[in-house]
Amino acid sequence: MKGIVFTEFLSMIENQYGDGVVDTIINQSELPSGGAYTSVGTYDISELHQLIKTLCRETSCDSKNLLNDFGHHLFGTFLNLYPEFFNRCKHPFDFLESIENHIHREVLKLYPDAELPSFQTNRTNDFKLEMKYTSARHLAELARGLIEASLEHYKKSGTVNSISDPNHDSTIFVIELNR
Amino acid sequence: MIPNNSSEQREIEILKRKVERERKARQQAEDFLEKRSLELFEANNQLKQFNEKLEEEIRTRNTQLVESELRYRTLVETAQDIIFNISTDGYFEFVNQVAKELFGYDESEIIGQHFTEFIDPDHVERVLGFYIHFRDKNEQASYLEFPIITRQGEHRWIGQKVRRVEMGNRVYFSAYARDITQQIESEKALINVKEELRKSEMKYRSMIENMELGIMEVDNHGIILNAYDRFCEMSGYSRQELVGQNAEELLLVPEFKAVMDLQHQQRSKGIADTYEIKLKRKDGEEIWVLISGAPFYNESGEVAGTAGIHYDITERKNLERDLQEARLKAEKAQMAEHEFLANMSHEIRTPLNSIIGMTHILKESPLNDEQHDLVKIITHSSRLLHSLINDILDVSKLEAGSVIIRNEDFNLLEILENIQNTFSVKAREKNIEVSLDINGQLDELVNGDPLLINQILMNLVGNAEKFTDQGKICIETEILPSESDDQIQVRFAIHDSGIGISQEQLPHIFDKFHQAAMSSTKRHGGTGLGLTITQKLLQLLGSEVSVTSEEEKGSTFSFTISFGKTGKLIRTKEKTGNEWELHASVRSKRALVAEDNKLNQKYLDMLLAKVGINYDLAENGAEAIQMAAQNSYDIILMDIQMPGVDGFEATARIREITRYNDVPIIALSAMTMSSHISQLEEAGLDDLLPKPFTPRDLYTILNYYLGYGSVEPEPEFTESEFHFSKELDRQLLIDSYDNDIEYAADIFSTFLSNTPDELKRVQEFIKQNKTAEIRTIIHRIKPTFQMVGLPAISVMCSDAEKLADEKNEDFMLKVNEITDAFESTRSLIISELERMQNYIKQLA
Ligand code: HEM
Repeated sequence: MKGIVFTEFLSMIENQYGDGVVDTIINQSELPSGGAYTSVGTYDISELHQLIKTLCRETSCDSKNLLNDFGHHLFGTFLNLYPEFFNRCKHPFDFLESIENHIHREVLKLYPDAELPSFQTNRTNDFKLEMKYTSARHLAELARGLIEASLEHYKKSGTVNSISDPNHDSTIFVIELNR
Repeated sequence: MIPNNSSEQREIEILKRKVERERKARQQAEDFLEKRSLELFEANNQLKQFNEKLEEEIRTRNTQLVESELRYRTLVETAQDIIFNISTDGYFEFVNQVAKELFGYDESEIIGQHFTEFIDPDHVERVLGFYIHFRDKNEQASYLEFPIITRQGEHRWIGQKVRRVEMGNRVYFSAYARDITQQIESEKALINVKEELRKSEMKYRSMIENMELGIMEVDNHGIILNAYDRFCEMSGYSRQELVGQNAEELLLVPEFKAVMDLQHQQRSKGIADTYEIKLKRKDGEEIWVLISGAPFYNESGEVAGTAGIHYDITERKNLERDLQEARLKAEKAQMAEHEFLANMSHEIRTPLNSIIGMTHILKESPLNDEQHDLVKIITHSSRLLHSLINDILDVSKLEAGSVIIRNEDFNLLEILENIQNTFSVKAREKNIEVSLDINGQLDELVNGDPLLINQILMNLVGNAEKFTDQGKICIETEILPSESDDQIQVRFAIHDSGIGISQEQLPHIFDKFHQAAMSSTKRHGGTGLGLTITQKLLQLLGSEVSVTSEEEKGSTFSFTISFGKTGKLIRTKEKTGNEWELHASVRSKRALVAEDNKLNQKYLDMLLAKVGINYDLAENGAEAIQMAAQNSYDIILMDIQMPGVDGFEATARIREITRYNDVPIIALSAMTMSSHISQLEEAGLDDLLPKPFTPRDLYTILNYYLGYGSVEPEPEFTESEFHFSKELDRQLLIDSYDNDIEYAADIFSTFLSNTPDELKRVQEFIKQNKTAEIRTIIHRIKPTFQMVGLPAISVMCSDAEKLADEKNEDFMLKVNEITDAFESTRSLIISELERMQNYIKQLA
């Protein structure tokens, strides 16, 4: 998992709970990296799961909500860092469809060791999109956060429902925009 | 303070750990980046090596190619060449297969023979001499070409390389030779062709020479290579004197240097050209020559120099010059005549204008009958003199070509109607009818010169009027099918039932100062220049007038002019009976009318009341602003020329009020020049309702700006039982008053009480020479004539305004004409008013 996921995760926690909590959860988790992350580095995904688990125990929050929040946060970061990906598209579905074929592909060029999910999309019309997330890292809630944030960014409202299939590491998101 | 508090202590520790993590993270990042840049460096290196390897490979492949080609070529060559050895004293020792084939002998027949046996006897001596020399001088290698004779008796040329070979003690010559017969033959053929060429060139040169054309050839540096006899004669130099000289330095008259430079440039690009320059002969005399210069080429196809063919044109040039001088002189004389005429006319016009003006004033003063008659004669004579001078000026302008043709969009229909109106008034006195007959659609503006068209029509209709004492005059137009989509062709014909023109006179009617019946000038007045001018004006427009005539029956003058199409429709005011169509929604609107002229106020009141539009009246600009601010109007009708704050300013101020940003403000004005219209737009006015206007004009505007609903025709009005006099424009009056005779009577009486005062004031101003003030009054009274059915006088007012704007001295004359016209129609208006009042009483 790329370091940016960790640095951004910690920065979100620090903003929400202060650097005391960051210090605590790092100390209480068993992290091979010792919690020193750089965005260009690569770390084991289990470190993220550990951090989430410890945090939820410490602050008694729900891990799903936490990942969802993180999705929203991460979206803001990407928007800041790579505005061109967003400007290319006018409709949120165009953007979401471009993740698999364009955005994540560009990510892989930069970081050949990045571990990216796969997205299969199926657009019924401009108001309904199905998006099948497949990843061994099981971060569907993160994806949901990112998707929700995408809709907000393109000033659209709607619902994001999902059906998960843990046996196949996949979750299907059904995104419906309000007319 | 020492931080001993435990929470502070903890904070410091958290920070410390945070800093430590940051440090580690940075270390990692740096390691990562270093690794990355190392990878990059490696990748670069590999790329470079790969590149070098590629280049190397290409290089080796290239050399391989060259080598194999060389090998191949040697093979072919050896196979084709003749190879043999000869002893030092000239006997064959070895020959190869190719040699045997060429000579046509067996090996045994050649070996042991002396080489001279095989050579063309004519060349033996030369070849032998060459090789003896070669041997005795101990030279290593040589080359020589000569013909041999084969067994079949054929001549074959060979080119032979001989090399001296020393093998131990033994010395011999080894020869490689090649059959070059073909080459030699084609060379010979070339020489032949060249010879032919030279001969034909010579032929042509002598032909040219015989035609009195002098030929000279110069090289690329301008040095004379050759000069032929005729050229020598022309220049006065001998051939020897010319060859080797710089042609320009020796021959060219210096002022033509630039012409020559240009020619050099052309020639170096291989372009041939003809030009005229002056040359200086040996005896110093200068001659004009026409030169046709063309580059010539050497054997390798490069430009080697120029051959110039010279033709003496001195005589022609002199003739030309004389002619030019003569023409200039004539033109100058003509110009002087025109200028003189223009000046004279101007000089005469100024005093003449005062004569006419003063006569007019004199006429108004108390006179006895005899004096009155005298004054009348003065008036008549001075008017005639005046139009004569105007015509002369026109002719001289036309002849000097100083008439500028304009191109503007204009309303042809309006011009025609104005002319009809103008002449109707005049012709009525003689009881002649002037009709206008339009065949085809004239519903759009056309592009052309309205002034010229007007002048042409005025002249022709005026002419018809002059020679017609009874019957009628008809102005007829016809739209002809046009060849192009952006042109409209109009044929105009002016028919009259006048005295006509006899067959003998017909060809001369367009001559200057010619009037059909020679004595008719006296009878009919005029200058005799009218038709000349008309013809010339039409020529300017690319047209021509044609005439048909029968004595005592009448004449027809016709011409065709094409105008540009504009696609701009003339705002419709077709007369579709008397019903008014006003959108229902318009009637609920509220209007503000700003107008200072009492007569116009009444007119507008009548028109607006008729369709039930509520309106408020502002007497001037300041009042309009105030009222607009206090109330809320849906439309504003704005007179432009008002005392104090005028319509422009009032509009601009009203527009400053936010709720009036989009309210239509319509200018009411008699100014319709295009410059004025752009001024209207600038001031924020939406449209112009030109004065004088008919009810239909007003309603069209109101419908356009206020009406959105459906069309709801007013009930039809029955025709008025009151019949206006034939001498007034009846249709106009019916349109304006629409059966409301009470109202018409009101307007007529206002007209009769106002206009004389206004004209009296005009007379005062004339005495004080106050043009601007006069113009203002004329402008103010202009629409009122239309309202009493005298549109022709309105047209005269427009003309007068135009003259004032052009600072034309004829302005005062026009003003007097207006006064006269009013005076002569006054009694008609009075009797008309009386009739109306009687009619009203009857109704009551
Ligand atoms: C400009 C926009 C985006 C950029 C630059 C970007 C880039 C990245 C990067 C660098 C990672 C980490 C890969 C690794 O750790 O090895 C990642 C992971 C991920 N991205 Fe994106 N991403 C973008 C938009 C999105 C959006 C809109 C979605 C939501 C549908 C999305 C879904 C995910 C998920 C779920 C992961 C986690 C890895 C996994 O589940 O397998 N990304 N992305």
